[in-house]
Amino acid sequence: MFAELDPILHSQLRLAVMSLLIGVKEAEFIFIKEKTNATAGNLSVQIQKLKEAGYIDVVKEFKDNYPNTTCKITPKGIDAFEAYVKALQQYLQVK
Amino acid sequence: MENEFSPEESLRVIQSMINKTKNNAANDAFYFLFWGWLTLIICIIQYVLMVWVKYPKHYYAWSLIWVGVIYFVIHSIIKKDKQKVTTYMDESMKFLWIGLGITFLVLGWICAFNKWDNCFCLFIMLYGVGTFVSGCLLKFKPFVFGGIAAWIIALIASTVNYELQLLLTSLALLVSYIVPGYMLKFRFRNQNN
Repeated sequence: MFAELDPILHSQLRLAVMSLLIGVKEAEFIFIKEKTNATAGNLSVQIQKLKEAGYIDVVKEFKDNYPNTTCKITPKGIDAFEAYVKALQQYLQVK
Repeated sequence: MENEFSPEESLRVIQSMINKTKNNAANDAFYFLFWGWLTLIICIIQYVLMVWVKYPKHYYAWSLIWVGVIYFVIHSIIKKDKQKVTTYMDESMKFLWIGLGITFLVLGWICAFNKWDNCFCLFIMLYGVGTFVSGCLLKFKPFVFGGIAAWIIALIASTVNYELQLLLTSLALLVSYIVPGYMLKFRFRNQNN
């Protein structure tokens, strides 16, 4: 019996964001946008979904008079990511 | 598109994103080269003042370290403003070198009011600690070997006089900071070309 893949994470862009954030302490929105090659609008929507799921913390502040968004993975996000990777391993072992 | 996203694709996304957050070694190389060259130049100036010029207050050469500290603080503040991501590696390196930097200053202070006889051996040993741990964290062997070489030089320095200790300190800086620093810089440059 396979564990179900978390639908929040089983999306290309949201998974890319989580994979970036799992390896760093925190990252700015512009950094995530550069690395994922996503559009600002789409990325904002996906980041909001991850935030609503409690997987990431989003801090909005001003830096040099410009709005700046910083994202950081939460302990719940780390657990979800690890569970997703485990489920993924199950799927891949069978093939 | 999301429904057709296969487990294989998931794995590729994870691998590709994790690779993109690997540490930016160019910054680390800058710090090693900056402190390596500054300290080496100070050692040479002190040696020249002491041995050739016979100036009694040759240790004044170390005042130059404050120029480095001020420049370094300004550089770090500017860099922090431009930094878009903070990795755990950045954090580990930062705290290691803040700790060592404070230790260097405290040790310099203690030595200034006591005998300088073996102080350079302690400095060389600390250079070894910094480069060895950094080399292990960055998985960059030239720093690991540089750290080991610094410890061996510290042992040798404990058997020679103060003047030679200054030259051995310069040698330790060369093998543990400067040469591996350039190797790291060129490796990073090659990776990006």
